[in-house]
Amino acid sequence: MKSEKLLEAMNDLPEELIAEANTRRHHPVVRIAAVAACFVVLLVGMYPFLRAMTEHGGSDDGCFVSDRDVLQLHGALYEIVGTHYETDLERLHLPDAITEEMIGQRVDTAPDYGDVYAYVPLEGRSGTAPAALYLLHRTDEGHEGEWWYLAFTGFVAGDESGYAEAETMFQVYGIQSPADIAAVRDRHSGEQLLSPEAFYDTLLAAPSFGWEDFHEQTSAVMNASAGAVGIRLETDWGLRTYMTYYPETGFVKWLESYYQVGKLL
Amino acid sequence: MEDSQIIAMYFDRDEGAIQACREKYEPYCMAIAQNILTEQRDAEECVNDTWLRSWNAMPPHRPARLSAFLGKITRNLALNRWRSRQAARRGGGEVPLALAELEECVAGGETPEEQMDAKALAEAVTAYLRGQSALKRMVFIRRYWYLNTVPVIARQLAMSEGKVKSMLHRMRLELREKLGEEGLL
Repeated sequence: MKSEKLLEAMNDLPEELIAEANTRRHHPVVRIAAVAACFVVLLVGMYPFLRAMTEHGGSDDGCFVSDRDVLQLHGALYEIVGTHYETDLERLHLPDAITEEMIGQRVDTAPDYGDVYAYVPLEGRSGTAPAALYLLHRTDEGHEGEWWYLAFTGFVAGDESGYAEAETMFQVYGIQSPADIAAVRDRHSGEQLLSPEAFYDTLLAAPSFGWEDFHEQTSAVMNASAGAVGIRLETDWGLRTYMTYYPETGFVKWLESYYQVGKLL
Repeated sequence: MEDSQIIAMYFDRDEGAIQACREKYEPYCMAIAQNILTEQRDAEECVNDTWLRSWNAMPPHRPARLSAFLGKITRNLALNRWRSRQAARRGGGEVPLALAELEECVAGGETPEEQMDAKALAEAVTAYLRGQSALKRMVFIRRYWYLNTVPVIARQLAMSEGKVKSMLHRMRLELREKLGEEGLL
């Protein structure tokens, strides 16, 4: 039976996809306005602090933003950056539902770590990024003084027809102007693809679509994902976000939204 | 215990690795086996065999994700057992339903099974899934890898059953198209 063959072949799916599918989502999705309202307490001067963190701990590549995954917290979707959050949250007995009163507070003590860790809002250089992170100060033997963190960056997402305007998405990442973008690079090679100004202006001017509309628009293209280019946008305060450019259709996919940019590269 | 520590124990041939795996991943592996097999004893045996297989595989294999690696072993063992039980007409579980749904992804007609290279199939499915949103991947893999039922997926992902079904239906059709384009049907 051919379907059985397919079922068997799926056993060879990459382990990261299998692990990804075993992660949890918690609550219905709400829009970014609700997210922003949740993060009303902002700490001043986080930039140098975060810079220090990137130099003293975090993910393997030395940047505190290293991977992408999705979690629903506090009634909104978040991009998970950092590590395999679910296991870590459980291991550290960290609540996976972040509430407003936790912001800026010490939450608990954690096994393998010292008694200092907190959940704090993460302030972008422009001061508007509705993001947050668990911050842990590792003081166990051999790791004294090391910072470790689980970071969450709020983003807009919705159902299959939902999308966010590029301006909103930029705001999520604390990007108010091209000056807040450090680089637009090829996700894998790191090669700089185009100037922040060109990229920012192109995306702002592009019509936005949700998944369903995107597929309607591109259904005539035989291989819409051919030649897809992974894009890594970096802010100059260390945050990264990932997109995909589909040259066959002239769309950029940014999380759950699609932007019709035409010829970008 | 961290996965890296458990893997290191395997490489040190420390039998405590199996106990550590059992403590950490038995519920996970058991859930996979139970989705495929109706008999509790069969599921338990598959999970027990998983630890032996993992012992034989590590070293030399060093999994990037221990959970998924163990899950794959369990899934394989459970599918094999399901097949033998099916032959004896004692099968059941979610497999027949999942197979019936996946018929939509493969062609009718008389294309010989031999032409469907498993590796190429897996690569095509992987490529297709990588082009989907994380949520869609999650739904598809939960249904056809973990063999979770639609109601369970809907509950886990806070979606309606109708939405899960329609998403799966659309993905199956898209996958069928993709497999056709790549000559895998």
